[in-house]
Amino acid sequence: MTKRRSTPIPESSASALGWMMNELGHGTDIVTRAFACGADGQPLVTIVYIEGLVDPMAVNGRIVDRILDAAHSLDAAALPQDRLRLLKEKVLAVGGIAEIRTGEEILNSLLEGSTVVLAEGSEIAVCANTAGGEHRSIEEPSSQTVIRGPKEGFTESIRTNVSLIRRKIKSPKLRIDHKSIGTVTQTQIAVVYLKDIANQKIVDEIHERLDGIDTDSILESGYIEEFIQDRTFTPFPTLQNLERPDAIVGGILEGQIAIIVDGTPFVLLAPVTFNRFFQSSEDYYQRFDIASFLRLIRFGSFLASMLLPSLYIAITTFHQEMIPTTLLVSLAAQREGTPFPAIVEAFIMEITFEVLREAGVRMPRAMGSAISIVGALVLGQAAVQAGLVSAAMVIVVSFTAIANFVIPSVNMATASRLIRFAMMILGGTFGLFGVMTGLMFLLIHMVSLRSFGIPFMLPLSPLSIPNLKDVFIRLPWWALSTRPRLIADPKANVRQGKNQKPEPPSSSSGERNDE
Amino acid sequence: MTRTIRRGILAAACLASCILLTGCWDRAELNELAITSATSFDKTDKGWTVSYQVIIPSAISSGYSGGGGGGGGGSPITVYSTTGKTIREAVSRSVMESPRQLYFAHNRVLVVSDRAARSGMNAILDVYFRLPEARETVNILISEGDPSRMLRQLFAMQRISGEGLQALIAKESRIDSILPAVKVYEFAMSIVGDGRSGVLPEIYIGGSPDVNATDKLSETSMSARLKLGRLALFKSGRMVGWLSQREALGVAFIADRIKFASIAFPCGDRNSQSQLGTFRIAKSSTKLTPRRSGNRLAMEVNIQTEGALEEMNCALDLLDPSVLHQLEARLKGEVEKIVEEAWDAVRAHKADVLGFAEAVHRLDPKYWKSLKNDWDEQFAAIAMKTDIKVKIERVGVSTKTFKKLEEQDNE
Amino acid sequence: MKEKITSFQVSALIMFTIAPTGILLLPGAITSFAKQNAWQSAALGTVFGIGIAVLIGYICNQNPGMPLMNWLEKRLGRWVCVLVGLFLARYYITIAVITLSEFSFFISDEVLHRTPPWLTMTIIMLVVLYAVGQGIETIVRVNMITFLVSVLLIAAGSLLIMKNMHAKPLLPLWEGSFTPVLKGSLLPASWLSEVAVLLLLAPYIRQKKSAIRTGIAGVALAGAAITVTVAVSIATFGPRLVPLITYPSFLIVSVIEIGSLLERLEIVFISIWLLTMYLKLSVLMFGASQCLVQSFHIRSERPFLFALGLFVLLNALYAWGNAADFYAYTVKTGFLDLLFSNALVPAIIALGLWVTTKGMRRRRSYDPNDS
Repeated sequence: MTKRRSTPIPESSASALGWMMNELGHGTDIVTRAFACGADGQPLVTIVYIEGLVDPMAVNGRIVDRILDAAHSLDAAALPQDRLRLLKEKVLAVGGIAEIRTGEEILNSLLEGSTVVLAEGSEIAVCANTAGGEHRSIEEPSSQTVIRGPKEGFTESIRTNVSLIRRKIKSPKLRIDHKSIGTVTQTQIAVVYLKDIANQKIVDEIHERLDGIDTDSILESGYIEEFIQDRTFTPFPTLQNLERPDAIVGGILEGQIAIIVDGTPFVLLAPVTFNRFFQSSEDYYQRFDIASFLRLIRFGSFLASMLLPSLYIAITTFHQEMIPTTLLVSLAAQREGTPFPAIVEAFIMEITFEVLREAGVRMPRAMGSAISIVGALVLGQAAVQAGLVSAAMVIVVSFTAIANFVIPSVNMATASRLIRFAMMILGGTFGLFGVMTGLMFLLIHMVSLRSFGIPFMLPLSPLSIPNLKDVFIRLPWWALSTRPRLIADPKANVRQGKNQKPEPPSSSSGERNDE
Repeated sequence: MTRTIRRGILAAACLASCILLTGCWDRAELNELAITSATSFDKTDKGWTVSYQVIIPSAISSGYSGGGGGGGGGSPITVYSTTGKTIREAVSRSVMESPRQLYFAHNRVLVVSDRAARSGMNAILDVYFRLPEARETVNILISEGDPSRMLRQLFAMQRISGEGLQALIAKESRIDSILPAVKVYEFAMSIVGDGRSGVLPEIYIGGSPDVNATDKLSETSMSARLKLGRLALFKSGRMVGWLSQREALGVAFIADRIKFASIAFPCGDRNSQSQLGTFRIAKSSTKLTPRRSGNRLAMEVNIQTEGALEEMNCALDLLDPSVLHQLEARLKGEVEKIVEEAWDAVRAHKADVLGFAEAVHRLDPKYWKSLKNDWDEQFAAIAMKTDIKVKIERVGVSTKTFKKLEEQDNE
Repeated sequence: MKEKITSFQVSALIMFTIAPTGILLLPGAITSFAKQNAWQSAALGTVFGIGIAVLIGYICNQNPGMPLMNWLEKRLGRWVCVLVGLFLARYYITIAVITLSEFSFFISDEVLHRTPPWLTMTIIMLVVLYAVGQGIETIVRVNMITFLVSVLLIAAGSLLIMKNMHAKPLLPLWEGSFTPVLKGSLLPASWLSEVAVLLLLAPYIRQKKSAIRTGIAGVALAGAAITVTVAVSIATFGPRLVPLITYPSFLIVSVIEIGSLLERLEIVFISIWLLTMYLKLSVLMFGASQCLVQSFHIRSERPFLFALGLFVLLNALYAWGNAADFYAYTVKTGFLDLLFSNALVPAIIALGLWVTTKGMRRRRSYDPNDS
């Protein structure tokens, strides 16, 4: 990081203002207001703030109004130091007040939305925290929706986001470590965890990695993710991003650590294991049986989304013996007259689908329905009727696409999309041997992955039977008595009491109820 | 960092070469295959003649989705034959006349002519065990005369007639265990087993002319049908003779192959043709016990059969236990007769398809060692003793016979 | 030495070091000796194997947790270490070459008939080198996942093959002399002696002094797998047909026919088997590289590993003539090499250790604090 200059604040408010305006380039959104408190109309107190970054109600009601009311007492104070103390202690009706001594600090606090109060003749300025301004209000998350569960989502404001977490964890152990990263953007970052429940070693590791970042800007948590993940050359995400406060809080309570970045509703969660990407916070609100079933469906969908086209290619071009005869005959009949080999056909369809999908994301929302009509009619039906692709291939590709949407985590879904193409090449070249070889390669890769030192495939390999309670199936809440091993602090393993299985009241009390 | 990049480039290069090389070797698109549903082998002076029943997918598929078209366009199958000095040579000649590669993994049935069977099955078995694409679960059938005729015959209800043939024999052996459904590996097991013999069912076309064109299917009654016939006996891989269906049932009894079967038996007067009943066997088990008596071998055959009456044309009160005992005794006699006839027929051919050799080997290994070398003679000299128990478990939902009601009315 | 693995993981790894080729080749070979009693041979072989495991475990328990060769160097001297290292490396390379060829033969026999072997071998080697490069921890973890998957698959498979199995081919239990059974048991015993890889793995085990238990568990698992495969092969095909079939274990699965939907399932089993084969090769390559790296103190492991992989690959491509040569080696002389390298050499090491321990104890008897 570049070394901080340190400019003293000029005693004269006018020259201080002049310096400030110079540094900030005379922006039209910089508002200065001088208060002629003295008898001679001399401005003794000046406030500066940037419009749009501050809460106008706070500035007008708690600073401007108060200063005007206290004009006489300010005038009475002889020395600039006294005036400053008076301002700080009696006049400014704002919670966060700080003294600042350098010009750079003034600039920073202005840019963070504070109001700077200058007293004529003082080398020290007061900054009052009036940060506010227009923000998106708390809305339902757009990307991670649930049917049952809280409907609130994170917003772009780090303050709101931190407060959302605070509101859910009313514990003094909740730690929120602030830092700002990015020499130009000075983006606020908050590391949130529960002391004594999160593993302190991992917390230190995260701090160390965050402090190591030397960049000019952080605009989204994706920047942070790429700087601090354990390995870059992998299709798999090793940090989770979530838009839902309840999911983040759930992770924090299991000993994970959240990284909130100002300016984005996507909060990072680390360390994370493979199975976490297949959990939705709704799993814990629904009945455990349906939640377990849905999880199995999600894992199955992940496999399907990754392997289905390659298996289809491998089986229909290499291992036709596996297909029941009747099906084989109807597949063969469909392929009569299609011009391309199965693998080319699959590639055409897959790439077409990816184009459609990207178009769907980029297009203005109003045209969304047009895309689906074009996609479904032109590409689906017409391509089959024209004999370009076989109907079975359209079914395979569509199912693959739908299976991909089942995965709750978008970045894990993306991983399977990329792997799918490599698998298709392998399957089309070496049949199932190729697919298995690809899987082996993938398995070796995934097993060697780590997320902040935690093995990525944790409950499976290394096998951890107690952790399996919440992986493929979710046991009822009363059975989840421990936190996942290795992630949380080993001393904070126990989460809730044992023997909480609910039972109907004993027979005697039941009879009493009947009476 | 540079190392990972270099490794990435290497991997990409490998991947690229894979893409470039795609399309070679083992890849076979579905529309490049001639899916074979049945094969037949015949041996003539010129060598082996192999015939293939190849499925025409588009014909079958259009038949399914054709809508109101009815009989469907062309024939769902096509049959052709090639000849060579060896089986595989004959098969490889097929490229001379077929634009598509023959694909045998979906082969269901193997029809072997009795000429080929009499000259030995070993060549066929060798081909099946050597080639990975050939299924060892193919059913073998024997036909008298040209086997490719069987492949040309169409079924009215099964569009893929190879599948139809297999369904025919599989269903028969399950529902009415007279003829066994024998798969290649099962046949090989029995041929190399202690008895060195095996059995295979016969397929023949009953009636004429053959139904080998789809337009002939439009008639409600087909002029000819594929039918299961006798049982072929094999010794050391060569066919030695035929057994009738009644003898085949006896063989099934002794070899413990009965799953279900129906037997007609006299319920009243032994010689009366009208006083018959039908017994449906639901469960049957056979135990073979070899006994040494001097230097001759005796074989005790214990058959325990349970089942239900399905038909009764005698005036009997079926609720009376003594009547049932009497019927059971009749049945026992009938089964005894069937078994004895089978034994005589098998003994005449000196082919141990009954599992006697395995039984001796299993229960008296030392004695087996001394018998092993001339088992054929020893087998023919065996004295078979039968001990049959028949149990009528149910008599059907009607306890009295109509015959009985009729008699009552007369009174 | 910062990598740590658990005893159970190592047992599972030992199982997959032995079983993949064992279940593929042994049923035919043992059955040709011992006929219907082949499963007894396999069980007897397992007992011998457990004996070897105890010996290996005993040596491992002496090791305070150093890599094998460094420890031998410290205890028995530089020359012994180099000699043993070279010998074991030769052994692992030979077995790796054999396994690679077996693997590739199998693939061209059963899966890809026309793909050139050099290509399949190269691909296999690339994956194996990647695994070995990631370290033993990765290998055991991959192994663990494969273990779970194959247990599920075998459970499902055994339900399906029930219908085709008969008890009759397994009888009579005792026929004639015991010699064929004993002869047949040498082969599985030699296969199971591959447990010697524990010598290299033991220093990484987290639980100290658990090597004997680990070895026995691994051998018992592998032995059980082989015995069951042999028994099931005979129960399905009879003792006479099994030796005629090249890969009886997969034919068992291929004759499953349940309705018209579940048939030709062997490709599913082959797929999982491919994974286990990768693991076996990885372990062997790991063994070969570790022996050489440790005894010659090679620092740049990755390039060395690559060179070793290339060496094994070229050997597998050019050193073997045809299937008959190959079969003759694996069944006739290969097992002697296995037994010698895996049982005799460790026995000599154990003897050496025993002698030196006595010597050291005598010399240090006046200084009890030192030990």
